Amino acid sequence: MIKADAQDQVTEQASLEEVSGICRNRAANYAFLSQLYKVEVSKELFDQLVTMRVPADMGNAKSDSGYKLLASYLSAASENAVTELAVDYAHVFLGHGVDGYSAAYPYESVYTSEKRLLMQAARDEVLAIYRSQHLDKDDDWKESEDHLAVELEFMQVMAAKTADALSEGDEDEAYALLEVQREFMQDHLAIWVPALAIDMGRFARTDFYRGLALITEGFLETDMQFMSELLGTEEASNGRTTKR
Amino acid sequence: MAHEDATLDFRFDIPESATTSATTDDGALSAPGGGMLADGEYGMPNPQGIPSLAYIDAAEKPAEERLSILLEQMATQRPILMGILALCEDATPTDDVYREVKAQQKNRSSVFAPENLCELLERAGALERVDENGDLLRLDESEPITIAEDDMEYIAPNPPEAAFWKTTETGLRLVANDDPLERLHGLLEEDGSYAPIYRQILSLCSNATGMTTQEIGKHVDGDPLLQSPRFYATKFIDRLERAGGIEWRQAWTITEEGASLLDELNTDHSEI
Repeated sequence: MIKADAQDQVTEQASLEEVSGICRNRAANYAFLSQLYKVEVSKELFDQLVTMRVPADMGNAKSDSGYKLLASYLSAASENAVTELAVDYAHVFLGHGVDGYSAAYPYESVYTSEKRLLMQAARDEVLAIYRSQHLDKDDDWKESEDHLAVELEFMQVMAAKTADALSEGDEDEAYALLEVQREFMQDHLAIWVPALAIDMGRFARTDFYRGLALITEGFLETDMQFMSELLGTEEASNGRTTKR
Repeated sequence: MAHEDATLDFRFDIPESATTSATTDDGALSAPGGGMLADGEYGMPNPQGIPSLAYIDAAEKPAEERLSILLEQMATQRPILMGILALCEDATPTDDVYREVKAQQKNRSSVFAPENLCELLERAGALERVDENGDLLRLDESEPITIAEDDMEYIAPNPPEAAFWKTTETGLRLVANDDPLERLHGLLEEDGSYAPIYRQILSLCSNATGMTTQEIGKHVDGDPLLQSPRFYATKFIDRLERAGGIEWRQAWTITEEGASLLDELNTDHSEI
């Protein structure tokens, strides 16, 4: 952005802070979703979810429907709900077949390889992207790098870094980080997560995981739109050209 | 024609043609109308004769029958299930019930959490979930609430109210009519010829520390009664546990009812 007089500087700073705040919210949303795909819902998380409040209108129909399903499940949950959710987590993501079609396997390779196998090209690609950002898989995590929980956590880390850069006034760094996030979304998440969400809807036995599928899809749509609008604005004001 | 099996919630409907069979001249088994195996040299499965699975909703059965099936299928959990029904004769907070069940499960690890056991009893019609006023609590009727604040609307889960478990009339009748000693008598009626084995096992389990399966086996497995047909102590330990004569408390330990039966058996034995 072009720095002009003092008033413009104050306005610009406020704008940076606003966007920084939005990026922190994005990071929190990515962290929330990542946790739900990583492991079964714990008692502690369940107790927190029961107290949640979300806007009735999130600006995305899928997110709205998803949160309604989640809230409906939590309203009718018995004391056995944590066990029930653990059973459904296994049913949705682990399955019990050997044909590759028995669950909504949360791995990008499964959805982007011809034979629905693990550890295919998608895994290698995302690993290269993580390492380009000086990130790597934790040794404690035994699943592959293209598991949805890891991809979402990558976006969480990048969103948090973007927020930090904006807070420090480093627009160039923030722009570069957002570019990485947008490309990751376009080249990876946006390609396979919608298909995963459909499968989750098929396999889920609780409204919780049906709702999670819609929330995830809706949030990714919203975030893609946010990044496109933000980067579009930045590109227009700085005369930057996009890489595509 | 359906198989009679009171313990299952479904029936296999087998085509009538498959229920009779005849031997052909060359000794091969065949069935009129094709049956489950097709006619011919190789006897491959006959697609027309495959049994169809007909699911019968367990909820259609009366509560007494559902409860009887549950207790039969979960015989080893019977003491805990009956304990829950006795505990909940008056409406009891769910947390208190679960705490009590966990204490009872200390000596018997189970894949069934207290919540599972209560829900199984609820499905069988022996237990019901009520609110603090004693009114039936229908969780599936709970809906999220909408909160209006600062010109925005929010949705929030509407968590269940404080819940209590209460034993139903069916459950109360079962508790009132429960006669564990009668079940042990029934076991001896079925298995009368092995009464000396049961007496020996009950006697071994009546010491203060109980006895392990291996130790019981060492005393019992060599008994002449168990040589032909060949049986082992585990068969009788299992039957005694299911009938309520012994229970596992770090070792097999005699119950009150088991001690009563042992007294009767010792009396019979001494009279002989």
